[in-house]
Amino acid sequence: MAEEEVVLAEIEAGYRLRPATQVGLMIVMVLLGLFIIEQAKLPLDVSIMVATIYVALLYPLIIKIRHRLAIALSFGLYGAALAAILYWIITGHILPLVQGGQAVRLEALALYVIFLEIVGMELFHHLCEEYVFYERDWRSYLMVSLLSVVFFACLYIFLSAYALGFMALLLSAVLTIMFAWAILPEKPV
Amino acid sequence: MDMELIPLLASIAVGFALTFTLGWKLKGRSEALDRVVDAIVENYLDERRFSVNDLRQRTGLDDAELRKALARLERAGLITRVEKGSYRLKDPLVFLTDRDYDRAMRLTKDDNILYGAYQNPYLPRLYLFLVYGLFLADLVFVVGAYLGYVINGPFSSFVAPVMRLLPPGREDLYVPFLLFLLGMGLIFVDFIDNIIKAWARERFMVIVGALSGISYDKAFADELSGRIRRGQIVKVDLNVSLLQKFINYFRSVPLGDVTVVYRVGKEERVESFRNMPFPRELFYVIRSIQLGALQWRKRYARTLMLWRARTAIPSAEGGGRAWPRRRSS
Repeated sequence: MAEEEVVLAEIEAGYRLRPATQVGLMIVMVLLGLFIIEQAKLPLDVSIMVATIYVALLYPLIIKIRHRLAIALSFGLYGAALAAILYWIITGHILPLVQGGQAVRLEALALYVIFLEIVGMELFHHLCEEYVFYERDWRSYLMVSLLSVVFFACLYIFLSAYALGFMALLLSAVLTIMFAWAILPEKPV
Repeated sequence: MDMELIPLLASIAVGFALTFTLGWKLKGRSEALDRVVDAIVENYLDERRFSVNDLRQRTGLDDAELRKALARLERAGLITRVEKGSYRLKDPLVFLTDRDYDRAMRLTKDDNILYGAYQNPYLPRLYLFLVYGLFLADLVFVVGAYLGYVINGPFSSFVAPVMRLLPPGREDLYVPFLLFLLGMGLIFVDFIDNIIKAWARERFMVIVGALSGISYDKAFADELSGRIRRGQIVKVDLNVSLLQKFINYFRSVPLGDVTVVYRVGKEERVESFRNMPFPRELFYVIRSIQLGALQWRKRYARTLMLWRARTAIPSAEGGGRAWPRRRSS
């Protein structure tokens, strides 16, 4: 048994399912999910994307093993889910416009960027907890600041389409503050 | 296999491979970090304060390696920088924010805080979970509106309200706007969750000090006015209900109730700390201070510290030193 497993077994084992049970439950839940997705008769590409996102959302809830491989798998699922979402946006909504000779409007791009930022951060907190530093430092503040600047700019571009004037600026600022506070890593209580 | 699926599968595989490699590398072994942890555990568990110069002498590491290792431990919440070149070791069972930890130290006159955490606000108030219901409603609405737009049918009634929300003549924004609504739903729930956590930190703090006993908040913005001195403790009970046990399988921080019976004069009183993180460890800590025997903590100090440092301590793959196993008592 690896050192870290010995260490963690002492503290967390009493609260968790046994590792074999965790893996077994994960397999059962994945199979159940795949069965439901199959029953929905979705196109195959959509089924693959939905299944990838489903597994990514499920994995950290069930698997509590702190083994190096288990953690790397969690990181891997983050990349897989994000790639699936990005693929769906590009091939499903941006490429058809480009191929049809239409321009992708700036407001639409801004909304896609906002969505990807939010989903990227939320999935990161969900799947890569090992890398979320609850003790905030300059790196987490820098990351949140950069993302907030992009969020603010994109939101302002979108709200400008309503011709709201100064109100667009104000709304963007308020929602950006909400965004920044939401994505700052908070210790679980 | 349908050739059109290849780019999708390739994208998912590349995304997986890239982040898997990143995760694997992040959990890689670090010799410098091992040495720093060893030096801290062997020399500073009691005094809790150490200077970088002392540590440099004990580990033989150069400045850059040492500072990198200390930064990782600081991010993992194991140590806190107190002044230039000096650090304080946090007890591994302290789950408080830095601000609350400082407050606890001040209020207990720099006592050795053995355990510190907040009672979880959600479980006794299941209505708070309605916040997540808001997101669920948002999700159902967005999926319905998307299906109504793409395939029409029974969901078509969802389309008109979304159209009304869009800027005039901008139907092209329909799908991105739905994604925006979904994203903002997530942010809103996270935002409310943070407010609930902030309230819980002000209302439900519980600390156990080696000399000061148990101190806890009795009201919002309280300054740990609830006190149970070590000598007053008569009995401690640990209760993990069926619901808590089930939730603990899936939640990152396990919860349980700890009840303390204590005596004030001739009167026996009962104080229950509901939904405390790592309740078994809290039970052990309270028993230890009740009996005036902190051997349990000393025996497991290293294990506890390594457990808490799980974000910083790499897996032991590739061999290396064996940890001391549990000593038989």
